[in-house]
Amino acid sequence: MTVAPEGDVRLSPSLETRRLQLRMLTNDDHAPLYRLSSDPDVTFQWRFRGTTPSYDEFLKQLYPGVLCQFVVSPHGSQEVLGLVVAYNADFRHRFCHAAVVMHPKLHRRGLGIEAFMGLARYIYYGWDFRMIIMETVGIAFDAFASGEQAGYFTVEGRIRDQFFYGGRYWDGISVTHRRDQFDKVMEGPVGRLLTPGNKVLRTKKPAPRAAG
Amino acid sequence: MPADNKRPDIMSLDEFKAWFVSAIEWSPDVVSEEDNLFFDLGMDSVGAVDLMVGLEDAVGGGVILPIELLLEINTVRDAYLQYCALAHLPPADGAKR
Repeated sequence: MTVAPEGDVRLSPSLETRRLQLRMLTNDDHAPLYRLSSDPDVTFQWRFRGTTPSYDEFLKQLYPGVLCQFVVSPHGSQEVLGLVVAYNADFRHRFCHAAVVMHPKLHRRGLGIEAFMGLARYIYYGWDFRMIIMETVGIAFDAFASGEQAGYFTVEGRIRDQFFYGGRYWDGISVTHRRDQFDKVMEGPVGRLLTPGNKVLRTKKPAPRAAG
Repeated sequence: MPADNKRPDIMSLDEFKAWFVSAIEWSPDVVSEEDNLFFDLGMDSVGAVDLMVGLEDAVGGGVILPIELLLEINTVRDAYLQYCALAHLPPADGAKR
């Protein structure tokens, strides 16, 4: 039962965002996530950093340390667009870490932010955490760096030239998304990402005509 | 989308470019329809959120820009075409914009 005030999308355990659903991970998602984790445009910035673990090893590493994680799919579809994870929760000091991985075709489209905000809403609804911490790499950070100026998050730490990708070294970057930042950005364009809206009817492609 | 759009409530390409410059915070003062949003205008994920919300607002604010349309947008002209598509697509479930 939702106890949030009616109409206040900031205070809701909903796992639906404007375009996406965050849904429970099932066995059917394991293979698509394994493929995603080993995609050349993803692997160096995600868990395995370019290595190629066996499928069994991948599965073993999917849950340890996880507070909650959800597959990212479009509304009404089971297609795996990505994964959002909250992990390494510290209940004494009231923070957790989070990570978002999205299919490369969706990079720089804003959908990773939409998925993250859905996760952040769920986390801040359910736990009295003060902040969500994200560890990222400069090469990935470039895709959302302007968010610091927009107040989405704060860069708290930077290890210069920590990671090597693409023939050069990139900084390791720690950012925090604090509860008050969540509340504040929800008042701007980001707030729209969590509000329901009216879907439009899409024209279906005609079925291929039978030969002959 | 019909090429000879005559609906008065839908912006022309020139009107759209003027709207883009004024409504999208990260836009430069002048844009060309050929400008690539990512490579020429430097749109990142945060900028994409602004654009998504802006396009939805431009057609009334109540309609969701579908992922399929979003993925078609690479240039200013693409953004205009998807704006037009969004404006023409009927709402599902009989909902009003």
